Amino acid sequence: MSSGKNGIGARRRHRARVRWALLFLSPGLALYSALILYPTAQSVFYSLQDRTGRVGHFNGLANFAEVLHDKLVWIGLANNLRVLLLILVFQLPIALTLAFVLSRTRRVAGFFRLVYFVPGLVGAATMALMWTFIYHQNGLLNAILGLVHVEGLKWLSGDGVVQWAVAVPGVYAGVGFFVIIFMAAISEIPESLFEAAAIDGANWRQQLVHITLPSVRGVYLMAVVLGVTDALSAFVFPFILTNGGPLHRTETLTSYAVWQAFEKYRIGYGSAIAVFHFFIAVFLTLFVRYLARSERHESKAL
Amino acid sequence: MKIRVIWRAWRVVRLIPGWIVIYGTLIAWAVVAGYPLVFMLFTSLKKDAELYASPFSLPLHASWENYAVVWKYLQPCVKNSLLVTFISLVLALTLSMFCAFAFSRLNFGSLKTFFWTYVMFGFLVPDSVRFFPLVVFLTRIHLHDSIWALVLIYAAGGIPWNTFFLRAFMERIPSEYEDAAVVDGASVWQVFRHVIVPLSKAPLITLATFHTLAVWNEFMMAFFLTSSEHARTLPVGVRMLQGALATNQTGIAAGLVIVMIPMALFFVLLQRQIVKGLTAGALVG
Repeated sequence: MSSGKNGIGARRRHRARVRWALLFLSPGLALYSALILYPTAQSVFYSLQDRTGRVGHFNGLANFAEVLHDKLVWIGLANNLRVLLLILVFQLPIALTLAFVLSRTRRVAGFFRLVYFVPGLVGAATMALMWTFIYHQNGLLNAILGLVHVEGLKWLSGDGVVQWAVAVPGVYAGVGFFVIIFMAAISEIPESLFEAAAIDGANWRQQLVHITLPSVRGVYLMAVVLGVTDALSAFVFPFILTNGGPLHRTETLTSYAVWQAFEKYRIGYGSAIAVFHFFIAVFLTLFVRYLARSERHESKAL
Repeated sequence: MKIRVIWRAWRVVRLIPGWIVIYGTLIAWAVVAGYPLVFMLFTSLKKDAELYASPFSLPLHASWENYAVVWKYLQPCVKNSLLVTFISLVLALTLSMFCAFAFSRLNFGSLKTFFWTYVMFGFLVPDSVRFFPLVVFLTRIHLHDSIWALVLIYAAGGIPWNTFFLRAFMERIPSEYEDAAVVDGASVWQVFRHVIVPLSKAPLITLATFHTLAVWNEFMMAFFLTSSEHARTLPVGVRMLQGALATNQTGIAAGLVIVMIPMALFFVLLQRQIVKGLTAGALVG
């Protein structure tokens, strides 16, 4: 806009700036385009084909019609939602409780934070293998049950048990991560708020309800959004613990798509499941954000 | 006199229920989270028969043999993981620094909005969506079963997030620094190299720890893209123990301990950076 005044010089300088910008952007954008955007577009492309291996012909929306009628897709989605349920009911409330309690201690906080976080730190593959020792017929869990004279279960094969058994480890390992997030959020609350409340005679329970919880609300909602993403991309635990079995009962959307693509060589159909997964993820994320927003408006109105 | 003593004692006693609740809660979860890890450590020092006969006992005849056995399997994976993590880290951060610099300090009009949206779209896409074409593509160009496939994937995957984080940081750098350099006749590249890069050390360290954690543990891509000894990373090696040591369960436990201890040390040493990285990641997420 200011180029009107300075004429050609300014335009040349602008062009030089654009050149510099493109120079700086191009290596990153090239890698990003080749390995993120291009395969994403290709996946959409594959999902419209009956592709097996290298050859594929377009068959319109046939894959998506099959996805909607495939019982195993819905079993997979149900298992993803099972993880989400455990996250909402156990993981986040436990993490918030621990973070709140931990924020009231001083010297030991570092130690406990380390112990809580290690299960999430060592990676899903390692955790999954550790849980094979816990779920083994003669493993830790059944041994503990034996101590109180309860008969052990077949954790990794019993129908109705195994679906929960493969959902728990990831939720368990993730607690420490959210303890750290919530502790950071709590530590951001200005100390003066608590001091003022204490002077007014508020006890810790009142401080919790009126200061701590409202202050971490935003972070908690972010954690719910992260939980949705995590739950919908659950893969490693069922894959290592049961390989989706018995009879595909512990399959998740991702593990089922992988099975279709790499075991049955139906890359087109596997891609369609992945694209379906993407839509569900976007939909659920927007839904949670919408809920968060409408609730905020209500509380403001009050 | 006596009343004062009682009063003082009462003030301490009064706090005890609170302490019990606080430390009871903390210790309860510490047991749930920590005992399985200790259990793995004890198990790794036993033989299979001893494990099933007395799972809770201390390893009375502790033997380090399992570690020697399992190290043979994991050693090449450790080397691969270190290489993949380090190279992808350098690549991701370098390219993201370039991008973030262009987005925050260079003014190139409406193209900027377009490219920014283009890069941020990467946040939306779950790994599984781009997964199958990636495998097909990398196989076709003969990059599968090599650490370079993973290096490129991890570096590319880090670009949206690192660019986002670094741009937010760079926009807070006062333009006076830059102006002073320009007055001294510095070119755009010199401004980047001698002004912006040195100032960005702190966020780069935070991002580096974050990237390391994510990449070191990544399983799905690594599992389907690497198989032979000269390419597979540690998570893949760990998964492989399941089959390789099927008749030596306590050997698997030793493998898990080998994976866990460096990570715990990593956390202890870099605790502050990791917490910062995770928090920033989650809050923006």
